[in-house]
Amino acid sequence: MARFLYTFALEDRSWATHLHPMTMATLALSVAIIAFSTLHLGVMGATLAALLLFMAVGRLPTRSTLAPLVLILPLCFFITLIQTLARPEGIVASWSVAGREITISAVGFILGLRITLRVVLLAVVLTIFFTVVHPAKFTKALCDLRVPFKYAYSFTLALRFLPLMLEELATIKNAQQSRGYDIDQRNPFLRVFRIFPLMVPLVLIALRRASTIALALDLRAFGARPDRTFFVDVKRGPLDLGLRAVGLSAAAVVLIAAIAGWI
Amino acid sequence: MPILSVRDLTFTYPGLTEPTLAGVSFDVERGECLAIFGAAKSTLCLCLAGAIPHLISGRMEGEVIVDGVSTRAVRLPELATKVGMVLQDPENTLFNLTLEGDVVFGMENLGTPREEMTARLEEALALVGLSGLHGRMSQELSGGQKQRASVAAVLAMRPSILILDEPTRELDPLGTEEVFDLLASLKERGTTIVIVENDPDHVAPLADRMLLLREGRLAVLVPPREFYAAVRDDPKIRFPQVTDLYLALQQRAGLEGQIPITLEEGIAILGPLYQPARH
Amino acid sequence: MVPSTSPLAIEAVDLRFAYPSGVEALRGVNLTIRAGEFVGVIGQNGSGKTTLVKHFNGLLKPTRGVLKVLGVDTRTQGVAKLAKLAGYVFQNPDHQIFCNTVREEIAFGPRNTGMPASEIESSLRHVMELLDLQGLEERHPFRLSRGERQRLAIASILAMRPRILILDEPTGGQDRQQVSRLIATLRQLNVEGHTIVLVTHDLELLAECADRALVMFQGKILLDGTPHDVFREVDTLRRTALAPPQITRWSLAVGLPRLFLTVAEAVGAYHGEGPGSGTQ
Repeated sequence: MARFLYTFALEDRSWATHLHPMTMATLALSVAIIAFSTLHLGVMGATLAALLLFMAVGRLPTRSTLAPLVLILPLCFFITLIQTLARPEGIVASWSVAGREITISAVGFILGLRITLRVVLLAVVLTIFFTVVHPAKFTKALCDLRVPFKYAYSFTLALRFLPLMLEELATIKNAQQSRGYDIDQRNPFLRVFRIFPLMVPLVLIALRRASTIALALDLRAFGARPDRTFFVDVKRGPLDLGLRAVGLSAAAVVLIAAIAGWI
Repeated sequence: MPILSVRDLTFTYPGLTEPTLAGVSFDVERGECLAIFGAAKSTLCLCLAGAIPHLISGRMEGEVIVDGVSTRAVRLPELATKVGMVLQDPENTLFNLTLEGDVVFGMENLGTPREEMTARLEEALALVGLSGLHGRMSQELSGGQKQRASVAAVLAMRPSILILDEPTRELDPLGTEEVFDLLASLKERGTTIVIVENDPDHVAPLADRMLLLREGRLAVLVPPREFYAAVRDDPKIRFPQVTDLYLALQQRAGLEGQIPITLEEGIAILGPLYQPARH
Repeated sequence: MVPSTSPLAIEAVDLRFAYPSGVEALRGVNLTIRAGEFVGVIGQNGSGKTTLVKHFNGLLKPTRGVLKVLGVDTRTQGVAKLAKLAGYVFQNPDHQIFCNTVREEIAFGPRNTGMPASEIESSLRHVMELLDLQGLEERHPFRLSRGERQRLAIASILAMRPRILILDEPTGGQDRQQVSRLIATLRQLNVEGHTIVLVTHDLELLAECADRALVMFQGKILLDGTPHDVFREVDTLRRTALAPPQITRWSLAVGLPRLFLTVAEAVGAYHGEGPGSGTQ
C-alpha cells in the first residue's frame, strides 16, 4: 500500500505535485460526479482518456499509479458476472442446472463492463490523487478551509498507521496459525468464532497503540495553540484555477446532460 | 541550581491503594546523565516529562521542578521546550509520513515561524546523524534510524533535558550502538539525560549516577561503581559482566580497588588475576 | 551435544526465499539440526534470521530448495498441521492472546490440533507447572503482568506438545531474574528431549543456554558452530556488527587460552589467591 503513495522523489519529476491539493480534490470530485451521472461509454471513455493524458503529461509513474487497479479486478469480475447472470433481457443462452435456470445475458454483460469502467474511473482518479498529493500539504489545505487541525490531521494519521495495522493483522494471523488455527475451518461449530482469535488481539493492539500515540502527540505539544504554523506551504496558481474550471465545467455539463436525458 | 528537582514525589494510579511512587526526592545537575532502575521507573519518567499530572490520571503529590518551573504550574506545551521524552517504540512516535514532517511537527504545534523551523530541522538532523534524509518516508528507515529520528523530533523543540524510556528495546545491536553513540555525543554537548535502560554494557559508561527505586521509594542514588556494589544482591538488575565477575571474586581474591564497569577497566583490573605472573 | 545418530529435526537444502516484492531474504541455506539440539540464531535485523526460522513451522515456504521438519517437507502441509511438530512462540504475546481465561487460552492450540480432551487436561497441568502459572487457570489474561503473559504464550504453544520449540526474542523487557527463570525452563525442556531454536539479539543469553550458534548475514549462514567457536571469530562477527558477550571479549583481550562464555565459567576457573597467580 505504501508504494502507491506520494513520495518526495516525485517532486523533481512531476509538475503535478506542485498543484494545490484542492485542485486535485476538485478533479477527483469532478470525475466522481461524471462517473455517477452516467454510464455512457463515450463519456466515460473520454474521462478515462483525460485521466491517462494527465498521467502522461504529468509524468506520473505508470506502474505504481495503475498497480492498485489489480486490487479491484476481482470486484470488477464479480460485477460483470452478476449482471450477466441476473439481467432478464437480452438473453443469448440458457440451460437448466439442478432444476434452476441459468441465463447468460448479452445486455447484462455489456452493463457489467460499463459498471466496471465506472469503478476503474474512480480507482484511477483516487490513485492519482494519493500519488500526487503530499499529505502534509493536504492537511494544510484543509486547515486553510477552516477545518480544525485535529480533523485534518487524522487523514495523515490514517495513512501512516493503516499499513501498520495491516501488518499487525498479518502477524496475528501467523501467530494463530502457529497454534493450529485453520482459517478455512470446515467445522461449522468453530466457524462462527473464527474471527475472534484475529479480531481480539487486533483491537487490543490497536487500542494500546492509539493510547501511546496519543501520549506521544501530547508530548510534542499537539493542540497547544490554535494558531499553529505549517512547515509546508501551498500556493494556488493559474494552472490550478484553470484545471478546477475545466473539471467542474465538465462535471456540470455531464450532470445536466444526464438529468436532461441527452445521454 | 540543579536543572531538575524532584521533591517528595508521590503518585498513585487510580484504583490502586498503594502509591507507585512514594516520597521520592532527588536533584539532577545540568549536563548529568542519570539512569533509573526499578519497577516504577516508567512512572517516574512520565512525572519528569510532565505527562503526569497533565495526561495521565492519578493522584500526584509533591513537585517536579524542571529548569526552575514546576510541572504542575504550567501547561504541557510549555514544558515541551524544557524537557522532551523519547518513547520505547519509535513506530508510535513517527506519525508523519516523512522524516521531515516528524522533526518539524513539535515546532509547528508551538507556532514556530517557518525560517526558524528550517534552521532547527537542519540542526536536529545533523545532531542525530540523519542529515539529507528529510524526504525519506518514515517506514523506509531502519530501526536505529527511526529511533534517532524520534530523538531529532524531540530535540527540534530544544529541550534542555532529554528523557528516554528503554530506547533500544525494539532495536537490533547495530541500532543500539547508533543510539548510544548519539547519546554520548549529546552528553558531550551538555544535554542533560535521564535514561531507563537494561543494557548494562552501554549504560554503565554513560551514566554519571544511577538511581534505584524499590517499592516506589528511592533506595540508591550513587555513581555506577558504588551502585553495582550496593545492589550486588538484587536479582533483578543486570550488571556488566566484568562487574559481575569482579564482585563475585571480590572476597576470594581480596580485591580492594576500583570496581570495573567497562571492558577496558575489566581487562586492567581482572586480567592479572588470570594470567601467570610476569617477571 | 547430541550424538550424530540423533534423528533430524530440521533439514534445509539450498533453501532460498524471496518475498513477493522481490527481496531475496534467504540466499541458499544448508542446515541440519538434530533432535535435542539447542540452537541460537543471531544476526542483525534484515539478516534473514526470522525469515529462516519462520520456515521451520511452515509459516513461510521455500521459493526454491527444500525444508523438512521431522522428515516432513513443509511444502506438503499447511501451517496448522505442522503446529503439532514445531511450535513457534511469537515475540509479542499480545499477538495471540484472546480468550477469557488462562485455561481456555492454553487449550486453544491443542484443541485445534485434535488432541483428545483428557490429554488436553494433563497437558494443561504440565505446562502450567512448567511455566509457573499454577493457580492462574481462571484468571483473565488481560490481568496478567507482561512477564506472565509471555509465559502464557509459551505455555499455549507447549501444550500442543511439539517436539521442536522456536522462540523469537522471548526476553524483551524482562529483568535478570525473569530471564534466568526462562533459561532454566528452556534448559529443562531441552533435557526432556525438545529441540529448541532461539532467535535473539542477546548474545549473553545465547551463551548461557545454547550449545550451537548460527550467525545469519545477508540471507546466508555466516558462522555455524558451538558458541565458543563462533565467538572466537571476532573479525567475522565484526562484519555483521555483532559483538560476543563482554566476558568473552574480555577473555580474548586478556589472552586466555580458553574463552569464557559466561561469568559463572570465569568464576569457576579462578583458582588463585590474588594477582599474579596463574590459572587454567
